[in-house]
Amino acid sequence: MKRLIYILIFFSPWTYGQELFPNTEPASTIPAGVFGKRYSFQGYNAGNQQRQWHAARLMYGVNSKLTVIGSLIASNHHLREIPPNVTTVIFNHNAVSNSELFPMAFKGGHLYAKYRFLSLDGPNRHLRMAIYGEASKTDALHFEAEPNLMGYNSGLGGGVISTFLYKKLALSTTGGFINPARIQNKTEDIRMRSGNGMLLDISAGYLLFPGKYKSYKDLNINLYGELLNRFYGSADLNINSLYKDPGFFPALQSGRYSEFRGSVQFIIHSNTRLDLSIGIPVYSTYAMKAYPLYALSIQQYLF
Amino acid sequence: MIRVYLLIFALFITGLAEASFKKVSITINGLTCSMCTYSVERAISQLNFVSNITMNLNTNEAEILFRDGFKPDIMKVVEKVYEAGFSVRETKVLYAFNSDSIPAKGHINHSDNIFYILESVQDTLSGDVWMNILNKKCIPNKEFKKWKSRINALPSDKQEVYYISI
Repeated sequence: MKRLIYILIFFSPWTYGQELFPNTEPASTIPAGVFGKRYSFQGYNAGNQQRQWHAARLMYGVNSKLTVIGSLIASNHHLREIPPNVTTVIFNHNAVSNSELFPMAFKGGHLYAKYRFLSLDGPNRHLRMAIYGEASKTDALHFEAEPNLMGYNSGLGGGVISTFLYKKLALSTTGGFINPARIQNKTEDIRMRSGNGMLLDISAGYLLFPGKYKSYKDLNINLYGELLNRFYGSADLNINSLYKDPGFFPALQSGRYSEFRGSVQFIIHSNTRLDLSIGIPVYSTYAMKAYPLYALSIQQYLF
Repeated sequence: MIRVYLLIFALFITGLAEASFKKVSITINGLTCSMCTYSVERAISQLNFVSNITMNLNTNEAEILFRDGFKPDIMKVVEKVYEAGFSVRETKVLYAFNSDSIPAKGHINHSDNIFYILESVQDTLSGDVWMNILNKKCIPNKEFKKWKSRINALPSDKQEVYYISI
């Protein structure tokens, strides 16, 4: 009986995939002239401290093909000032023994633009492709090789998104690069640059409920599985004009990791979107990453 | 006094034009969830000549009614679907020819609307008639290509022309 139900769900003409991915952007864009707002939270336990990350985002559909997104970010992921024992702090970065408590602070802004250049629509299916570019500005003291433009590094990024949807299944891939800017502190004579990064994210979505719509008031429940794959080069660190070999600092070495994000999404009254995610490691060359990661976001279009 | 007569005459003419398009039914491609459907509905409802939209969330078919005193522009409705990020599979209009009995072929100028009938299973048009609009964007690109050479061979009008199959 159970198997029959699964088969029915699988082949039902009313079950569609979902591409409102919680942890990646789809190739689809926001309707022209429409604003959207989103609040996102991420949290994980870093041994001595509950780390939190908050982002407030405003989105706008410039036209049917171009979407722009601006975000303001706050977190307690970094020290406010460069400490006197900076070499030790970088060496112990993210280590459980690191007893430094990091303050919650405003980290900076992030701008993102996405242009949909391909759209092949059909009944219950579509293939869409988009290119994106992003830029960020932050004063965060991010002493890690992995670059991240959401409140960790200033820098630039870009890439290509492909989203395919057929009936019950939505699949999306994002391939991109991150080019972080240098952190420079003249008074302490520290220059640091995270490695260049590449990402290849794969997302899949599934509409679990409702089987058949009755009205806009129907609660939608969507399930997502996303695999975030990141590759990055080693960081470049100079203290007092002396080059520091990243080989001595675990956090500054090149690496790669794959992280799985499982999510459940609720869409209320066809406009308010609530995403709950959990991130777990699949593979990592960097042993000190902290898991599980919990994420929440709530979004609304302002029609 | 002449002005009043002219105004009444103008209202009468406009009234005729409004009454002709009874409703439009647009089937939308690429929609998969009620959130996307809602955004299309919101986009169409911005048009001042639209009075009501009924969306079938399962078939993605939008039925649109028009406001009295405004001239409906079907192409503007279709454009709103594209602006919301989706495309159109089928555009059908219910048009009132009233008691007129017009041959269902060639160029028709009815109540300030211009139609080119490209294909018809009926010989004459009278009463309420469902018509498929074959203009670019009103049907999938692939399908439009089938009609393109016939449409291009027709003389171009200054006004918006609807290409029709019945």
